[in-house]
Amino acid sequence: MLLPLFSINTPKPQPFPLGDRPINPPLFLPPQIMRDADRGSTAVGLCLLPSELLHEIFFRLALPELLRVRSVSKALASLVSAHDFRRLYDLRSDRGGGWLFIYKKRPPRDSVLRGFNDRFGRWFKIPVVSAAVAPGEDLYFLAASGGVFLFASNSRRELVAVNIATRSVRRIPPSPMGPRGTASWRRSGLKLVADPSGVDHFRFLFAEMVHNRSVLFEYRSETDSWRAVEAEPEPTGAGSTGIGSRRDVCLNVVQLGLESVVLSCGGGGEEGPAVVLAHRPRFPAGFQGGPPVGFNTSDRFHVYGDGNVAVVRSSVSETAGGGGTTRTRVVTGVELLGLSEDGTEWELTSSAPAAIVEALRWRPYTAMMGCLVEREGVVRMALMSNCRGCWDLAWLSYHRAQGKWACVPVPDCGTTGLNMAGIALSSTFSRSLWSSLSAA
Amino acid sequence: MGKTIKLISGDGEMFEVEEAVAFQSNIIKSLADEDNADDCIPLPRVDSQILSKVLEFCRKHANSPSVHTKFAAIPSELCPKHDGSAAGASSSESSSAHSETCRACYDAVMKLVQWDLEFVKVDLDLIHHLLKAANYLDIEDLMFMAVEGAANAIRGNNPEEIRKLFDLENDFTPEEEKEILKEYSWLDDPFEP
Repeated sequence: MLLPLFSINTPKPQPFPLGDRPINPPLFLPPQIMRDADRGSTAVGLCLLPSELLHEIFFRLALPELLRVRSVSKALASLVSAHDFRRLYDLRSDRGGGWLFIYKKRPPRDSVLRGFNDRFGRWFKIPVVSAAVAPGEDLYFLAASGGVFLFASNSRRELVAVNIATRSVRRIPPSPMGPRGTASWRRSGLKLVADPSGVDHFRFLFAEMVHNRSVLFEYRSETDSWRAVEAEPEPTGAGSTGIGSRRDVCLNVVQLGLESVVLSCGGGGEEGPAVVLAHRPRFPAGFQGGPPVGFNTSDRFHVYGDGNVAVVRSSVSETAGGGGTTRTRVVTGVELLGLSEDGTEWELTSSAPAAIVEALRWRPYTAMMGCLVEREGVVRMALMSNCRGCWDLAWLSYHRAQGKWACVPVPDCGTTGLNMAGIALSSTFSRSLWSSLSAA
Repeated sequence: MGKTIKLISGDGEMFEVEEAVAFQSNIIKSLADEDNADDCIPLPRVDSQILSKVLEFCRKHANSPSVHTKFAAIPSELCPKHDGSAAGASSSESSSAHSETCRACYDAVMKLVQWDLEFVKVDLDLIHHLLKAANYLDIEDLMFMAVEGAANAIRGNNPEEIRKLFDLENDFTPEEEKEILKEYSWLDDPFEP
């Protein structure tokens, strides 16, 4: 077991950020700095260091600690608020695992969104359910990107987008599919993409079968409108593989036995995606389509995301307790497949090693759900399982270039007895926290 | 004792150390490579108190794999480690792979890191001098640990305590301070399940 190497004064020790390199090339300090120190003044010389060195120190701090530094003095505040520093800090933190969000409800009115980041090692409460959202409104959490959190409102059958950076709530008009309840949203492949330039805008895409045709629906907050694009079948033959590389967004539509339908779209600009293709990739033998939620009747279930599918295999085990035995399942394997270059097959990327599966094995469950994202060559998936009212979270990641799996330990966030109303992964959350920082 | 190097601190004290120790510093290494007849390298910007601390660090690191440059990929929490199966992984090029799979190597590196952490558990003033020296002498591992030590000193402290550490004045008005703290109070929320 890799032990946490730091014992620091925060609730949970952080993993040691090995691999971070100090600044390169070395700076030679201007002579006046040395003179100040040579004078033997009582003031601690740390603040007199060149800003690059101070940056290095602050890069090591978790966001909450960094924001505390901001309230120390105006000089430190301006250093930490500077655009250059924020940009570099984000670059560094993005090398972490990103954020995992879960939405918990304690009927009738209490609900809270919590976020976990492995770099900080603890759960945070994210204030999204504000006065603008009707108290007691029945919400289901769908997705997060940047500072935007998307919910499906079951009571009003509409989508609600909350922006935590600007503290605004936007109610999204119904898509061409009409008002929808939570159950429909949970079935679709969907994706939320916050505007990377940090402005309060986003796109929301989902895919659905309409009269046997695959359709991509896209909402843009800038225009507050939807557009529907019918997918073209994947072109076969010479010259078609050029399109395959422009898969900006991949959404699964449905599984039909041995095949599944996946939409990919790429290119495009102001008017919407340029090309939307429907692929019908086949599963390899032994991998037939499974349901998107793993109930205790299915020996495998699928988690889709970003052109990948994770197949979670399980077997039955009898768990004693509660005055009888419950039929539960335990995970026996996790395999990651990716869409092939030509879109005709799901190809096996990697099988999780025994040690990873072992970590999941001891959690018997009756129902499991999951989500999967890929960003910059790292696939991350969260699996949430339930056994008799107790929820368990597992966070796995797969690094393509290194070919390595990892299991991020997730501390308990007190979910017993609560309703879990949605789970999502996002690696862009940190960026949103800067936008409301004004220059000091 | 192997080949030694003589170093002269800013306040005129002489330190004689083995090459392997001194060459932790890229600057000393390149200065020594130039044909220097007396093998005596002056370091006017580092005084003896700091230089002796720096050399203590270098002595410890002289014959170990660099923790921070070669051990770049942490094995995953649950990656199986083959205990002692170092057969065939003896060349230095595969030393990083070796560290990941050989229990003995892994333990040695972890022990070194623990030592490093203790080494930088000192007051900020000393860390400040170590940082400057590591920067000036270009000693990567020491630079890394000194930065970590400074960050450690800041972590877990509230703004008032950080002010004391840096010897800074609070130049915010109470209103300004309240505004800043209010914006991000959710990040400080104590966890209640």
